[in-house]
Amino acid sequence: MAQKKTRRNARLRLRASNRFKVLLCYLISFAVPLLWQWAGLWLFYPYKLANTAPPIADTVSALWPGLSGSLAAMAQDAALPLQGDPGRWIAVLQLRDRHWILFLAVCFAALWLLTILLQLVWRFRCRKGIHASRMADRARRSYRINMLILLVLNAAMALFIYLAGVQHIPGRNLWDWLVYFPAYGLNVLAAAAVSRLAAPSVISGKHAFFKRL
Amino acid sequence: MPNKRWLKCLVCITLLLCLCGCSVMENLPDALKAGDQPAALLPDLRQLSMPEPRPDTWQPAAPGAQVGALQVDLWLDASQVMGGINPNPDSIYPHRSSRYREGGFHYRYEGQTGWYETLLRHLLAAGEGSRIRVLRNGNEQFTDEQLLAAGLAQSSDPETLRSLRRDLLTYAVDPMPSLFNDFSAPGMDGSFYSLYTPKMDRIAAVGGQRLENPAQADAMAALVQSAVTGYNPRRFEQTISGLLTPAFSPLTTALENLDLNRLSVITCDPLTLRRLSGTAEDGSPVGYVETLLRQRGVFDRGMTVQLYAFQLDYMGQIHTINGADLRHPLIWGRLDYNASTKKIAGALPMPRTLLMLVVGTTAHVDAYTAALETRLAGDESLKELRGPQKGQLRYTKAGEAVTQEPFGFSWETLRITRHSVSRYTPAAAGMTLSLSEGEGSVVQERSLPTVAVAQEQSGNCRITLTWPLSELDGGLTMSAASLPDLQISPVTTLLLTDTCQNAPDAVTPAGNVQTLTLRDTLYHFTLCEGEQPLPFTADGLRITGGGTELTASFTAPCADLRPGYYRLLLHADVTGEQLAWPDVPWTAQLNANVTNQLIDSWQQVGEALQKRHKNGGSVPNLFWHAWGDKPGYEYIGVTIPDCPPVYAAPRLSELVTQLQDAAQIDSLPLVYAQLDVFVAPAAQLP
Repeated sequence: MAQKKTRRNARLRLRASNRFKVLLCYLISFAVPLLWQWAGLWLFYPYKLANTAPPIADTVSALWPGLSGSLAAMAQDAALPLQGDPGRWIAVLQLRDRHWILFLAVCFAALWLLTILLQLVWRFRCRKGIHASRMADRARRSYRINMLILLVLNAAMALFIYLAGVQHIPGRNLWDWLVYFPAYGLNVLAAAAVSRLAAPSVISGKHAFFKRL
Repeated sequence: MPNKRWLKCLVCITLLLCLCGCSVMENLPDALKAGDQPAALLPDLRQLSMPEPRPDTWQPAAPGAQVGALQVDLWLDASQVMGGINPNPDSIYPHRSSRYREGGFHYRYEGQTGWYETLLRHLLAAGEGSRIRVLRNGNEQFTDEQLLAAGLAQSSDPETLRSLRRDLLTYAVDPMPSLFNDFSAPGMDGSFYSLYTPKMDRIAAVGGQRLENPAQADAMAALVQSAVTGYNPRRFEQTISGLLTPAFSPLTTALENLDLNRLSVITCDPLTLRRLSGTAEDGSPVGYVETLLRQRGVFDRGMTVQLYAFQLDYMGQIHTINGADLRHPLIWGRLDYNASTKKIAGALPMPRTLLMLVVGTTAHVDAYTAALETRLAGDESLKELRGPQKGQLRYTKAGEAVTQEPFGFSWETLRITRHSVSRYTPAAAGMTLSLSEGEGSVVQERSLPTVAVAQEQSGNCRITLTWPLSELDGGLTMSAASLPDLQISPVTTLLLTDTCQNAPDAVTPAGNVQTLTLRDTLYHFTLCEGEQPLPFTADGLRITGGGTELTASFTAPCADLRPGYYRLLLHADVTGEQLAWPDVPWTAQLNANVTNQLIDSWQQVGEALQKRHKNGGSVPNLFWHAWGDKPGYEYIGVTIPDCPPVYAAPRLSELVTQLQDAAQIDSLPLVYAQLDVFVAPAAQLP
């Protein structure tokens, strides 16, 4: 009975290589959407989507009138002049591009961090348990809920980006869809991947729902 | 069981999300609502930059040389006909007698002198306060060769020679009105109007320092003295025939030698105008006065010519009439001599026309003529009537005997200045620019008026410029028939010429190329200047708004417009032929046509008199005055023609025409409008 109690309270020992594999899985999985968005905004945008930015500062100001200060100034700077000289037009369009890229980056960064956060919360809630099988069942259920939440959150953000900006972009083509939206799908996939492949050892197993690396 | 529970949860959540989504979509802020999705085929063309337009440097004709202090040159016609002098010593008419007199415009009988002397005093007085130079402008000539041979000039520089010639003709500087007392005398021998009169030698009297070329005063005096002493009055015919050419007259001498920095007042007896036009070496017609004025650039300098025709009294012997050199002169006006009592009752002057040109800057001409006309209008001595009464003097005119009635001093005048027309430019007050057909708008606040036209449309676009019609200068009127053609030409274009892939290694073409970027494409817009095909067609100029507006419009098929900028120049030039001079009725009334046939008939009278009276003898009654008053009378085989129109101003119409032709413009820009046409997708139009 004492031996049994001792086994129950003993901390599971993880090898360093196992920890490294888990970390690597996290890095790789969450780097993929990050890299996608970075490449889309900084590598492809200037050569595939240049000068297509919608007046996002204006839109954001309209959505949240309470936000004033720098955002209002940005919106004013990016307003197209009625009778401006060509140099002013060029400057405004370039400014709009910068505002648009910044907006997309902030939106994605927020969702990316939120996704990681929710995934880590799920992970840390599944680290301890007495009955492993019961723990695994509970983790599987909470994993599905968590994935659904992440899916909804990312989809909502993608929808917001579409409504706030992308729908106003004239002449949209495949590049618009590739640059603006897939990263949110990759966020969810990354969360799913790390959940299934780098789950806590207590709920994972070689042939279990949550694989052990 | 758990799977079923999960499925129910998912369905509920999905339904909830759908409901929430619908609710959200209904209350979506405007910023998130989808707008119209314009086709984006081109980058925003408002980024294109057109160069600043070239400034419109057109200036109207110079308003004349700088208006400085008034200086007046009085070019007084000193021809023999002006003085009524009979230069033929063998004439049947005595030079001085109780019946026939010399004197011309400048006659004197006891206390009575011709109105011309009064006019001269007023000419002097009108320029009082300024430096006035009187020049004796007779039939004598000082040719370039003479001046060079006399060592007066080292080169044949025209201005130098003109200056010397003015000095040689200078009769007085800043004279007193009494100067003109000596011009008239009962005997005109050696008078101001005699050929090579000793009075030509006035250089010493004037004072060499007051000449334009004081250093040459002695040499000029020597030249004049040699000319005077070398003349033999008995060889008048030979001398005068060597001097006079068809193109020559005192008027042409004055115009040739005008000092353009001064106001020139030129008197001219119209009978001295032998011919006003001829033919050049290549056979083309040449107007002598017109050519001179053009050569001197009188109207190019913005100067004004004011022509006067004075009706004056005349009493003298007319030996030449517009190139007809009469062997025996025509008597025009004479003394009222009673043959039975052998007494003179008075002078019977006849009317004649004297022409006068006032040439100078507009301001000077305005000031001088205003002063002159005020003086003339206020002079009571010019309001009396003169001339024969009770039918004392008669002459034939158009086959009818005319009894001369007393007449008064009068004048007519005509201002001739270069045309100027209102120039219709975008800067003109009241100009409106509109797009009367097609989709687009007018863009304000640019350095040039700009019309933005939508590219993707069918049909035509028509751009219209409208100005309030101004009143043109010079009494000209603009009618639909006289409107010039409207022309449209490109100044600069900035049009899409090329596209290429937007890549890091993309190369911008050399030259005036502006590159716009949209997505994965670079659009190159090339700036071109000069002639190139245009899709625009000028519709022309029209007078609209009930004759109150001038409208210019041009059209282009929208399908032919290329994206970018067209900088266009709309211009319509008025030529001289399209601007008619105002009608001057009095020139037609005073004018008389002089044909070679008439000249021949007048000369035949002289020949017949010469043949009949070569051995002397009394003058037939018929020729006591103006060849008598018997139309069609036969005299030793010659039908006596009408009296030559010495009462009129022969060749006046031709002179006026040449003055007007000299002032005529080659072309004047009536419409000159630069504007930009900006062609872009409709979504990019301002």
